[in-house]
Amino acid sequence: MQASRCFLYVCFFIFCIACDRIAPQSQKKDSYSLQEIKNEEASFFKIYKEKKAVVLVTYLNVAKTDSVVYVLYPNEKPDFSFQAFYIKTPVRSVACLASVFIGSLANLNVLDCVTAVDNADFIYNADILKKCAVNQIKQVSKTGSLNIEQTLVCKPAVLFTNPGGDTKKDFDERLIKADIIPVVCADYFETSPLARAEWVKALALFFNKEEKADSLFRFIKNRYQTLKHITDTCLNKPTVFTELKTGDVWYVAGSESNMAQMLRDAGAHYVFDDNHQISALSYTIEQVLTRARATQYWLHLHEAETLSDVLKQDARYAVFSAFKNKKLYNNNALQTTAGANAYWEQGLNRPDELLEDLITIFHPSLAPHHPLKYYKQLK
Amino acid sequence: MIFFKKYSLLFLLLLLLFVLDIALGSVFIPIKKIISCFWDSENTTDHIILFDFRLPKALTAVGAGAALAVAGMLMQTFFRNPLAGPYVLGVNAVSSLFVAVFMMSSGALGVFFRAWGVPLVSALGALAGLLLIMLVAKKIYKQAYILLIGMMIGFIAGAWQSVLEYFANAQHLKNFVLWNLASLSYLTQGHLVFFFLILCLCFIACFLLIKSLNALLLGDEQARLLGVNIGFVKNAILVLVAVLSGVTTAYCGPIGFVGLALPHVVRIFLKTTHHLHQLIGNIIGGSCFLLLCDILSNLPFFEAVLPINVITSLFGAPFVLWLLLKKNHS
Repeated sequence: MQASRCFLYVCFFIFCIACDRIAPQSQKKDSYSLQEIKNEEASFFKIYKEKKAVVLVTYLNVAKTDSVVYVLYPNEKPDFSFQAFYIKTPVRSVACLASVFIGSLANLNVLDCVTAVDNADFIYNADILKKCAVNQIKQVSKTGSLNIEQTLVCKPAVLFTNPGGDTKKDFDERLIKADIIPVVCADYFETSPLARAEWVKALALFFNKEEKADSLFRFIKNRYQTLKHITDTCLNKPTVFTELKTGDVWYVAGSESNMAQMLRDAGAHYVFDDNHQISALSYTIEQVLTRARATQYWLHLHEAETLSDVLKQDARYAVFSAFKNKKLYNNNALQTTAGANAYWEQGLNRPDELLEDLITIFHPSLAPHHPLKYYKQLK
Repeated sequence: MIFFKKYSLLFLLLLLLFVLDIALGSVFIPIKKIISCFWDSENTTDHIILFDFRLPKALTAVGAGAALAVAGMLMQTFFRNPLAGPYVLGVNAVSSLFVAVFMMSSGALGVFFRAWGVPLVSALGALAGLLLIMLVAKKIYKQAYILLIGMMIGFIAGAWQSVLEYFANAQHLKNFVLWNLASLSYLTQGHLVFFFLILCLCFIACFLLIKSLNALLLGDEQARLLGVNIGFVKNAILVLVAVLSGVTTAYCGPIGFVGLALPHVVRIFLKTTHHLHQLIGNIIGGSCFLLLCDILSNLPFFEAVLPINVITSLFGAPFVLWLLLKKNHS
């Protein structure tokens, strides 16, 4: 009994410390009043306006049990009672640890602020690549893990990254001590392509580019919905599945993922539409074969450039109807020689362009003159 | 007569496991349908699953299990050490290192070299690892030291492999990591013909060496007095082990544990050190063991696949421990 009580005290103590690290503390009733600016689609970040600052809250996991608060102030530093990272805007130097952020910053015309990237091999943007080549932009994660010393030398004000599942690692104390604030963006947890694109609004706050982000997102959303309406009336919904097996496992996008949503919006029937999961699910080749053998279209075939590349990985892929009918489309039409793919950098920020490509693939008669941008048919 | 009974038992077990491996999988196919698939040439999904996926995988398990068990037996005879095996002595690690170098630098090579290069390089790596151990064994007579040095060679090869992985580009790294996880499902019908042809040649050579292998158990001097050409036999064993473990590693990835444990299990079961019985026992026993591991890795009634390496160690090691303890008590 004594031992179990002791254990509970220890748990409570650890919980208190953990909460103190990153979660916003219970707010004191003071003169500050935060007004939420409602997002249209995104649900993994929140923006609150205040007289002196903008408050950004980002969630770190799917369950939204962990969050982090950033107070972005353009002039005088406010003094809020809740715990947060305080960042003066506009920031002049940023590090991007995922190529999707490069795409967002390019859309906001603030690429000049980028002083560090993870690895140039994953970057498609030509300007960034030129600067990497002359070492004007440093590569701080060339071997997979973040090189803290190099990052400290670059000294970016913020470091845009995705959650790695370990909060302690995501918020490395050495970086925070050096005033390099990790901005952890869980954009890939969003369940719709538009929600993911709306993250441009969160990133824009660091550069005081809210208006530009708003107008850009409005344009993307309007265009996306217009395109989606075109397929609403289609009675014919071609079947589609994605990916290749990795080892013995075939990872399939969850039916609640933004990929599955986009396939539905493009007027296709995703054959793994019944698992109600956001994250990818693992299947065996037998299960995929049973469900997708007669499927009409096959997308996202890893690095394959041609039909023979697909067969080189496993000759048995030829049994799928999509292969027999040569209806294989890969999302690697635009890529560098090192393998960086514009789909992940630009495409995810422009779901309207991705949707247009998909509609062209599934319903060529609805977009007769649209040349594919991110996708290409394997031959 | 006793051996005949035991072989019959092993053979029946092999048949049973082979049928189970084909019948069980992540997709349920009723027995009636499985049987009808053998008569109908209809191109149904069940037919494809059985003949293009399950049958090649089961045959790979039979071949790879037999090859690794026989390679382990040969090494234990060669070093006269019950702990010798391709995994323990670092042979697999050197073989993996050679494959890592090859895979991470083969971007510029043609399709032919990429397809046939891995088995060749893997066998060469295994041979290099064995030669290294053999050189050490010539200078050091204490068996425990040889094992320790073998493990050190394994660590060094593993460390260099990690260095290569650290600097490899994403695609090469992915290919290598997948290969390194080991799987029985890489081989298609075309590969299987080549794989079994090599295995059959190696097993025939082993049968021809049986007298010499038995003599080697008495020590080099005694074997020489019995008229065995020690140099030739040892070289032949090295080449056989290199080819058996190298080709298997190339096609399935590095599978641990089988080469070390199976010869012991077979020895305990057959209660003999005669190499004719051991060879037959290891061929059938190795096949049975890997078939069983494959059945377990597919987790019938669960929608998941575990890496074969996990199963061989997770289920195999406690089983061998139990066998050894039981033997010790009796």
